Amino acid sequence: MTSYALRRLIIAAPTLFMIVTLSFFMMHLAPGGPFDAEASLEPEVIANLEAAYDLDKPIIVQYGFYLGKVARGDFGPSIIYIDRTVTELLVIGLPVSIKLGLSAMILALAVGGSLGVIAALRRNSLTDYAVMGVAMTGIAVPSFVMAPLMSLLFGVVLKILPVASLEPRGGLAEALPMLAPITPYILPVVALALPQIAILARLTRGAMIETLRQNYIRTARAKGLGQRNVVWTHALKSASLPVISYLGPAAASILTGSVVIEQIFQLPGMGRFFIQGAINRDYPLVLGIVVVYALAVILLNLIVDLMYGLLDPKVKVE
Amino acid sequence: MRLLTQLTVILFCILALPASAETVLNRSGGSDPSSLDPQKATGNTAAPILNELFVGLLTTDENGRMTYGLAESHTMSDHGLVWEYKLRDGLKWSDGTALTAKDVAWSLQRLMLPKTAARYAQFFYSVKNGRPVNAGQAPPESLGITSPDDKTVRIELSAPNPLLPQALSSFSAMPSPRHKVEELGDDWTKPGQFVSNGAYVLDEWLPGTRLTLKKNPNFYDAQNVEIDTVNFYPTQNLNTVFNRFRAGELDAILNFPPEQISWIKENIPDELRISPTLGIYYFLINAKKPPFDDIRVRKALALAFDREALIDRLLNTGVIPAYSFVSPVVEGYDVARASIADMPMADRIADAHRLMSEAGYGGNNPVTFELAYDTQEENRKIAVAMKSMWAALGFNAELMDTEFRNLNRKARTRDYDIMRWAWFSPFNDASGYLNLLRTGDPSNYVDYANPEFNALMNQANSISDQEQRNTLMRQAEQILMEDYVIIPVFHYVSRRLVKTYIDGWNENARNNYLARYMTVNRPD
Repeated sequence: MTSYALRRLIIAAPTLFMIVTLSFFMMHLAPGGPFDAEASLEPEVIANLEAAYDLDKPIIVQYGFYLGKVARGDFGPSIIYIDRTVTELLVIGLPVSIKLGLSAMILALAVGGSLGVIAALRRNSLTDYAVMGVAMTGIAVPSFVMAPLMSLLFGVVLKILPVASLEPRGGLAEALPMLAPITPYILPVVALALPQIAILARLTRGAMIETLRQNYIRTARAKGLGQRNVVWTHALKSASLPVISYLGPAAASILTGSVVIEQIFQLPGMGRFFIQGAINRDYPLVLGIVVVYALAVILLNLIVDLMYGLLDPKVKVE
Repeated sequence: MRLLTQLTVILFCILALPASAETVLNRSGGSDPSSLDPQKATGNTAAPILNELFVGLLTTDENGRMTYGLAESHTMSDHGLVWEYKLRDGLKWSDGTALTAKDVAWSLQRLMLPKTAARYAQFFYSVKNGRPVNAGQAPPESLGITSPDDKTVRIELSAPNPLLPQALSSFSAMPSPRHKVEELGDDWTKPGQFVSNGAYVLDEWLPGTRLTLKKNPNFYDAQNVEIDTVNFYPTQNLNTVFNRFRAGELDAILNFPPEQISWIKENIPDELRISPTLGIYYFLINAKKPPFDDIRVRKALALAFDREALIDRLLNTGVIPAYSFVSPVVEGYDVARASIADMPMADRIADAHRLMSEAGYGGNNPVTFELAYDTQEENRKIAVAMKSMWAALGFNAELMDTEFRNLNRKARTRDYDIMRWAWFSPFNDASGYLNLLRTGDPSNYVDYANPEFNALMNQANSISDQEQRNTLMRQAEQILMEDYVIIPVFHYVSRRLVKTYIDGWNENARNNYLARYMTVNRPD
């Protein structure tokens, strides 16, 4: 398994190279440069600026410079944050995004999974319909609608959570100071997890129903095992396979979803820097984040595949 | 175990109590500042922060008017070519180091060095050898900015520049701490190492989250500064900003979603501040391209466009219909409005039809062109309204919705027919607008080339008597307005929300709201 993981990581290198190359040229192909939004700069000033960021060199030379720097782990200076390097910004943004993404993922798995199992066990009951109804709504309502609504309700009207700030504010932080440090993350995490909760609930429900129909479950029941034992020991493991295989795409959509959520809740995560970078043609910043995103997706997919091998005896990872 | 839990809870309660009764101002700050280095910073989100951190030779008072900063007097001689500023006594940096005229001159020289890559170096091209030094074609020592002694900054110009004082009050002319810059390089702006000379000093900067300033005890007027801490929250999403203001997280915000204006007027009218700014929203006409090279066609466009109807019925944002290029808030200047401004709308439409048929266009021979604007709800509304107002005359405007950077490229490469544009003058002076339309100016995107206009502007730019300058510039603007190469739509207003417990936030055209002049009486 270790050799499989290593092999996968080695294959990732050319993928990463392709991603960097494509992003580099696509970014430079987008109309307008980093200094275009500033009206009326004198030609001498533009020349000085372009020289400062190597933008006066032919694009292929810039590409060579960039590859050389990235290979040494240097993403260069940011253009919009003049005093900061891209690496400094990644150091600020990455922990926020990881905290946000990981919490949302865990929340989605716990809540989505449980809801799915409950719905499957009470198939065609009122509980099932209620859970699936909520799930359908969760899938249908996009987070850029849900997030501002939540922030309005809990932040402005009820005043129990901060509207958008990394500082603990609102009724909850005052009533329970122990929870204060996590209050800024509650709304963004829930908003980011909601669509995934919905999808995971539906997936788990389907997989669970399918598994409960299997012969070996009937055998287990015939042996006289109780409901709890049948579900937890026998059914859940096999029912979790489709859910596990969805975790890769789920992680990717949480990653992309965080771009929107960070913007709405003003969290200084990578998604927010990504948007600002793209709008302002901050080539080094955008490329740096693309590399990190690409690495994250590659790693997450690898983890999913490894987990698959652990859970499904039919799959051998070698 | 239970005791431990209880102790923890008590500890948290203690920690949650405010440390002391210090005065805090929480304000929104648009996006993050591009930089905290006065010479390198750019854009309007850096300005409010740098204005708190640094003071230049000149600064602004509580009403946004220019006043002495580090300087306490100045002289001008040699027909406006030599300016000397005398500094106050006992000036210090926030770390206690003495601040002298050498620091100020060094910072201005630094602004002009090509290596600094400063955007606003161009405001000092009138300084002797300013442009050649900035282009790397003359040695830095040849620059006309020197400090003959520790209390004097001497600026020699190659041509008179009546706007020099305004340029000197802008953030790019504020001094950087030479001792720190030389020691730490670009890292001098990091919290912990940061040194400034204004009312505040940087305490913390978390990009995307918060920028905290603390009172600087070494500021020359520190005894009159009441607010201890100023927090800037970078907030771009207008709905989020607005919600944070309503929830009390922010005391003052610089913008809000336009559709909320009626709710605000009804519920929190005392917190609403609307005031005109130095910005103009207008359309550029590519007058080199047929049929727009025909003034009759251009004038017909201007005539048939009913600004008042658009602004009252569609925008409802308090903006001011524009018939001039220069903003009416420019101090001491009486704007020149286009002659069509006073005509009744019915006459204007009739006139437009007549001009179009004279030019050979109309229903049978329509003029099809591209009307470009950048993606924003307001721009789209205006373009749609223009299209329908112009349709009856035989204009067929094809709407082109694009990204701002692409719009910018279109302007630079003249790849447009008619396009939306906006300009915020860096100076409270009519030349801050009119200079853009001089032949050869890099921002003359319409390639306007009227010798009479150029002559008047060149004359205005070379004398220092403000009244005389304004008269000349008014004549120039009148000529411009009758050539119809641009269609002014409205003068921008700033729309802010400021809590009523803040005193000293005085609206002004330059948008300077310095915390050093404010007080906060937050109700508890």
